[in-house]
Amino acid sequence: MSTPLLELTGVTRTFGRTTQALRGVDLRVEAGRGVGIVGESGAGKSTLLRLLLALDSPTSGTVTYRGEPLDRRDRAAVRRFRRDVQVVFQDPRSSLDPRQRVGSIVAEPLRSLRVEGDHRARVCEVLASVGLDADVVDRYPAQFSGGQRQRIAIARALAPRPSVLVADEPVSALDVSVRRQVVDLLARLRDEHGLTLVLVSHDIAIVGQLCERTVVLHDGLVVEEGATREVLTAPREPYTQRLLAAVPRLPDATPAG
Amino acid sequence: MSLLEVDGLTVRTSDGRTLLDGVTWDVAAGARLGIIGESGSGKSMTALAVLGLLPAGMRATGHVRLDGTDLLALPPRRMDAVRGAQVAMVFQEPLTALDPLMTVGRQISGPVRLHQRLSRTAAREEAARLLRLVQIDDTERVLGSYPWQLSGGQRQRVSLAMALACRPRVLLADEPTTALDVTVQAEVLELLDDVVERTGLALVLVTHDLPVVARVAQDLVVMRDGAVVERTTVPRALAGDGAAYTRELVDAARAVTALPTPEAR
Ligand SMILES: Nc1ncnc2c1ncn2[C@@H]1O[C@H](COP(=O)(O)OP(=O)(O)OP(=O)(O)O)[C@@H](O)[C@H]1O
Ligand SMILES: Nc1ncnc2c1ncn2[C@@H]1O[C@H](COP(=O)(O)OP(=O)(O)OP(=O)(O)O)[C@@H](O)[C@H]1O
Ligand SMILES: [Mg+2]
Ligand SMILES: [Mg+2]
Repeated sequence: MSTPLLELTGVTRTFGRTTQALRGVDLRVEAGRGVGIVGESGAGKSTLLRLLLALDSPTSGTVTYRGEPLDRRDRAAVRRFRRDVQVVFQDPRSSLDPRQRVGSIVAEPLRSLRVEGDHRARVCEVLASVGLDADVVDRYPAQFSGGQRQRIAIARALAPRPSVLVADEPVSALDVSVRRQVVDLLARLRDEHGLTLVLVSHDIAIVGQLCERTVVLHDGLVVEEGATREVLTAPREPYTQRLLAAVPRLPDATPAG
Repeated sequence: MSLLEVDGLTVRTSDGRTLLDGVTWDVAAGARLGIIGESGSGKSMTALAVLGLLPAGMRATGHVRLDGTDLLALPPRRMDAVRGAQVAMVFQEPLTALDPLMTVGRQISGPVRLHQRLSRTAAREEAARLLRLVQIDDTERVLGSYPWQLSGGQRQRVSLAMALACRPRVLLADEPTTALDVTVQAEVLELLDDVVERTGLALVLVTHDLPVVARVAQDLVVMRDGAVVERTTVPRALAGDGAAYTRELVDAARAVTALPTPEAR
């Protein structure tokens, strides 16, 4: 087996004395094999992503990036990591600097990672790929709708062409047509550029379209994991079965469906 | 008789762009109205304008009548008294409404004490009850937490509990379940349904998610580019009657909610 890009081994994370957000989780993210993480609100999904990104440290267990723990104080290592791994946070409002214009926000990883080439052109290109016009660059984050802000966060993450995208509910605020555009974009990046996705989503259809493997997190533990197709079509765990049964569907207008 | 009437609501930015153009709908006590539309169509802006919370520099014209009183004409002080108590809102991004420096317990029991004139302990109990209502079980911990110590879905439910705390007559819920997994989402939608049933609240549910609207609302307003495409009902929209644009939205939603199988088939 090759060295995984990102790996959690026996990871726990306890907040305060009693909140056990993660209670012993193993997870491997291998190059080119996307992982979808699904589970109930409060199951520990965002906590898990923060650990993968070394934005937080586990209470016990280990987190590695290409086989080594990431030292957040090693600036060169952090820059290599960021070049490789970009992130879309769950709450776009708090992850976009309100005092900067959108053009500058999306260009930020290009600047700080010293990516070569025409930054302005790249910014317009990624904004267009998520359905935003080039003239949005002069506006501030507060001047956008919720779904537009979410797309700005996605554009920023994709701008430096990362090899791994870690995304926490990246399309939750998007209507179906924009959502399809973004999902198609991610699928294309995966197929043509080998982008590896680590995706938290309560939209199971999206995990189904984008991720090869699915991990079901429940109450801080991985309760089921496997090939997405199997987990979603023949779930073994009662919790996964409930999750799938609760997917809201439109009542059919016609009897056949 | 409608309780809340939005009539020709138009919003312009200081540089003259029109963000909302003659938006008109109404909702009666005990009714459930859904507002759908694509990203950027003006759904949140409509809700903000109703509450008098437009960003600085924007101007609203037209009428927003609550029980006949035009809210757009109210002086700011009187509007403050309407907001929360009469018309409450669940914001699309829950952190908008939550004070980062205050525990959840204080944030919920504050308005509860104000509006229901309860003692401190009674207000705390009421806050815990509200949290249980929105499917939060470990109420003691959550009451003692700051917003940043909660998960995305927990925050969203806390802001719904806060909105319900004052027992408003109208609830504007802007994407109140987007951060929730489907099992919790189903429970929260049921809760909203139940609150309407029991209290005669008028519910305005703003969402891009047609299956969510279909589960809760009867009446439907379809928005596009800041204007109302049509006012219809959920059954009519699902049956494909009415505007072509609505049909497109319904067809798109059907295509997407068909469950996956990635490489298979
Ligand atoms: N900084 C923190 N301090 C204390 N408790 C925390 C903190 N961050 C998260 N928690 C708790 O840990 C648990 C897991 O939270 P996490 O954010 O990982 O959930 P999640 O699976 O992402 O949920 P959601 O789908 O609602 O976003 C929750 O009960 C949450 O309240
Ligand atoms: N402060 C602002 N200044 C200028 N334009 C704004 C401002 N806030 C929002 N807009 C614009 O107004 C339009 C309507 O925004 P609104 O937030 O109402 O959309 P929405 O229907 O809620 O979309 P979403 O589903 O993405 O949340 C958008 O095109 C947005 O860019
Ligand atoms: Mg989360
Ligand atoms: Mg909105």
